[in-house]
Amino acid sequence: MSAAIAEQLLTQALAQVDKAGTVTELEAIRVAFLGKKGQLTEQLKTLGKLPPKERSAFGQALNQTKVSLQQHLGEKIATLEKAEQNKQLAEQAVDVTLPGNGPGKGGSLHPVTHTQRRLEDIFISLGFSIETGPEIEDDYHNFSALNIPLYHPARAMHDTFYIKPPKGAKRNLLLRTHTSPVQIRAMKRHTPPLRMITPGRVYRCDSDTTHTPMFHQLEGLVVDEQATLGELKALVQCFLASFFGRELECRFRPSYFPFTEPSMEVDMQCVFCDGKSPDCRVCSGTGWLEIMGCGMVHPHVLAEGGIDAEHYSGYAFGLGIDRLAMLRYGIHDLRLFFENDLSFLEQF
Amino acid sequence: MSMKISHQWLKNWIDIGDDVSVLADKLTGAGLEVSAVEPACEPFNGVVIGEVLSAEAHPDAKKLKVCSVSTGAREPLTIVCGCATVCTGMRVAVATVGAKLPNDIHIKKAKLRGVMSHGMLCAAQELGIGDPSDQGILSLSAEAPLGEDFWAYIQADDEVVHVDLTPNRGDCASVLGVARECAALFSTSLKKQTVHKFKISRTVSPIDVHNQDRQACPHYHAVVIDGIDSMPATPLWMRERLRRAGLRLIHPAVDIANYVMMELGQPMHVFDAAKLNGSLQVRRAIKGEKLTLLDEQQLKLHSDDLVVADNAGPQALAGIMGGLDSGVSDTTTSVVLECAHFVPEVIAASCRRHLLNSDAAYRFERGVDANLPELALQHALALFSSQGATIGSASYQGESKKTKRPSILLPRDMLLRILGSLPTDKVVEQCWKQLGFAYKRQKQGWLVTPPGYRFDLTIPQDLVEEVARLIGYDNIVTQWNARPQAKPQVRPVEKIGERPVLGNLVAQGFHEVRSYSFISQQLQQLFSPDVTSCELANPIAEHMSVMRGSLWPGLCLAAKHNCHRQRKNLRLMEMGAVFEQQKSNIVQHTHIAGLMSGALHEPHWLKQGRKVDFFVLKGVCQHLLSMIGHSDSVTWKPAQHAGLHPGQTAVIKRKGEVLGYVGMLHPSTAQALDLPEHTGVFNILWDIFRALESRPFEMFSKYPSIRRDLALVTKKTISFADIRAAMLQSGSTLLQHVHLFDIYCGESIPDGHHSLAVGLTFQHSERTLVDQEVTDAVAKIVATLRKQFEIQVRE
Repeated sequence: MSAAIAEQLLTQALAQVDKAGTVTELEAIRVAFLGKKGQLTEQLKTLGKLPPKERSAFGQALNQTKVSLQQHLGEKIATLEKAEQNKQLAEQAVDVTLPGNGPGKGGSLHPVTHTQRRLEDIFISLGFSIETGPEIEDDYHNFSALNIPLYHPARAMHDTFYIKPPKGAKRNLLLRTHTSPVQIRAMKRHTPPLRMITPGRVYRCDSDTTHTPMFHQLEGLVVDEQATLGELKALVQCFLASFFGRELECRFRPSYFPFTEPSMEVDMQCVFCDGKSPDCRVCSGTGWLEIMGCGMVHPHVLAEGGIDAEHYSGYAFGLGIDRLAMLRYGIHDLRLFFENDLSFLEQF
Repeated sequence: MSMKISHQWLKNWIDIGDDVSVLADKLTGAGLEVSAVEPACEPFNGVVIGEVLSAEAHPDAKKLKVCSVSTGAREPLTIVCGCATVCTGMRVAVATVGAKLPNDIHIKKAKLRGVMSHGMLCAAQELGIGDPSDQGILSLSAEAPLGEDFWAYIQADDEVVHVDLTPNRGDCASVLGVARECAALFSTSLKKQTVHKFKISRTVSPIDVHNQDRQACPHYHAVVIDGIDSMPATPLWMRERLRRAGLRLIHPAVDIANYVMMELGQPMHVFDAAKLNGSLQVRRAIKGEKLTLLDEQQLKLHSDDLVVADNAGPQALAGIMGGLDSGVSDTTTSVVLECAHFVPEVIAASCRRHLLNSDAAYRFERGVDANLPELALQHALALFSSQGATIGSASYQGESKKTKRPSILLPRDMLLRILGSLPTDKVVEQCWKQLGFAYKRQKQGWLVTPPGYRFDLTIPQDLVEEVARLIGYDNIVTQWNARPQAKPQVRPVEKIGERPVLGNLVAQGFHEVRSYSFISQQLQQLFSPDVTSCELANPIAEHMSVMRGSLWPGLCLAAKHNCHRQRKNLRLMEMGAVFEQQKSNIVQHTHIAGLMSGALHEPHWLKQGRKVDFFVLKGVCQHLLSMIGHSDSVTWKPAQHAGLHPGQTAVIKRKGEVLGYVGMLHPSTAQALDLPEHTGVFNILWDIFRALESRPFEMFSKYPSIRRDLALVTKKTISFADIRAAMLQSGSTLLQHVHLFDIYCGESIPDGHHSLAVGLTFQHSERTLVDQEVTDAVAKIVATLRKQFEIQVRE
């Protein structure tokens, strides 16, 4: 009899829970059944009047009803809350394809900067130091000290910009035509063994489709007791392989620079066609690219640097950073580097 | 300089096979870089040698002639020709019917004013072998074999090899020179030459030559040659060789001199004998003497210039160029042929001094074999003689004994020391033999005597190069040498900051530009009127004539370039050197500078469009300067700077030292540069970023801080920097930060005032603060502000 009452209460309550659509309604149901004056609470109050035998059975049934009801209420509340939250979340949905709200597009470094850094990293890892020097140089450091005396024909190859001398200036000033003067300064400052690179801007009064009056050079110098032409060749090959990320065939040709003897010109396998395309516009179908000049430092130059040529030998090399940048990025027009067009700069 | 060498001409001197690509590879591999190989002639065919049997006037055209031309075949051809000089007996190049000439000309039968013409008599230009000046038909020598194919006759199957000579190899500036080099490279020897030894009788009364400078001119030979006016035009074979070598035809006498120079490497000069006045003197110029050169340039001579003069004055700048007054012309009847040796230094100095260049100077300044003049002169005289000129009196001056280059001792171990590997003695000596160097083997190496034409060989290292290039650089062992570990390297101090600083600006949206270091005077004036500029003596253009005193002009030009290409919102930066003169010194500093223009960002759906203003630029600088810490010690003071807005410019200082400037462009500057008004710039000395090398750590407080906010009503004329400084000074050491978070003007704020909302942060380094301490400190601050600036605190 009493069990039937409990069951009836539960059925009644659960039917209401089922119907309820809001947390408030559920709270009302809870109060109606489980509150101080709720139907179930009222039944519990009657327990004391029952004979002990019935009391325990009826009590047990009511408790089960209570637990079950609480559980159903809890679950229903959770369900409703979840639904409510889902509704809110749905309202908060955004169009993720709209533009973001950040500091905007980032800037960029100049391709020559990227290239120069790559070169510097390679040489630093080979134990080279980086040396820098003035861009307005004197005749001595740019020419005489490098075994290019006043009337030497090689001066004609340098198309030098001269500076109108300041009043009282004793030296003949010019824009450096290469970064070699930095090597003279460094040789005078340090004692061997020396391993250095000198990257920087250089100037020649020459302007056409393949020449700009300003460009970037990197030269290197090694002076010690073991510097040989055989090693210079090894260094050049090793450096080119690291820069271009693969082994490249090299060809060494005799050439002439006043500051090295013997002197060599290095041709590198064309990085665009690997020598396989007769129409390659980069190597003109020759399969080779002139990439750098190098040689064994001339004893006169060592002497100017205060280095004993009987005891030490040295090798030096020089290359165009702009040219390497052009090869690395596939840029065909040198002038793009100095036009500073954003459509160009943004790509790096 | 690029030398043009005819393969056929070269083969006259040496047997090097027919494959010109083999020759090109060998020369390039030996340091004589071949930059191009071109066919010597444009293709043509169907042209044969003919003889004009008769040339009659055309019945119906005044200017035409009807010629009967034999080509050795049975029937003579009737050819109508428009050339006035055509005459009976003349040997000519006949383009027969069906011939194909350069410029896509096909020869067909054609009726000319009623007369059928069976071909064409060719002018040199029509065959692609003339220069534009000579239009008449080509007159061949009487020995030209009738009926022979003209293509074969002129050895048109030839290629011209362009050799880029390095300055040390002046000895290769001739066919003979390249042939000698080939002899070494092909391990063969020169063909026996039939250079005519023309005997000159030394008994004839010599022309009067006074060589007053034997140092500068060890040999000077001069020969008078008569009958120049009776010489025929330069013969075709010589013309062709000169043309293929890239030399223009000038005059039959001059052409011979040029021909000998091209063949043997000995420059010569030809004077018109009638225009010389008295004896010839080789001497230094007298200061102020003048000379008009053949190219009509007028020179004021220097006392170091070597000249060839007559009694009237200088007639030639020795070894470089002759004078206009004594040059040969069409009316010349006799000439003085000069063949001399001038030393390189003297010629080079005059060339640089007067910015001159010539084929003769090119060779003399690099060195011409001192033993060559006699041989070259005989060769030339033979050619003159064969052209019908009469060799007259001669003057020979110079030592008769052979001039030798000094010997060089090459120690064997130097080969090893420089190359890294040692070739065998046999290989080394084979090199000397191939190169024609006299040598003696000695205990420690070789004593080598280079031939007279190798001016480039003076030290043993030069000989190492000769060995290396003959072995081939590619054949020298490539190897790393064992040595002590190289010292590890880090970037130098001045480069330490480069990556983080540029990286900072890139993150702030800046694009790095690289602009030319030279700018226009106007741009320099705009931003640096007070700087004494470094000017270029020889700029390539007016707008690139001054070394920049600031990075701003370059940035402005880059901005303008992009504005003109519809890019209005700009953030550009550059790091680089700027230059100025300080008294007699030139100072070079590195700066980092930036430019912003237009809107802060493209119109955005979440943000209001904001234009670039002073505070945006200042923010960029602060972001940058925060990298080196101690941003509190940096001050921003109102400043004036050329080109910038007078009310929106600040000088950035630290401890009294100027670090840079930031400001908006002056509206007039923006207008002058064609830039939008919302454009601003900043500039910071690079040196301060050296601090990035090492930033010492400072211990920070681990105790909680207390913040108090104040609203200060102050006169607008009092700068925030002053108020902040006063607070920090009076607020005891507990006051750590002063943070301005609002500025309010409006109701309840008196005119000329505004209200600054500031947040004060207090903190103790060693303990937790007590509330009362902070209250006391705030009271002190408020009192100070009231007293110092009459600032009221708003409740």
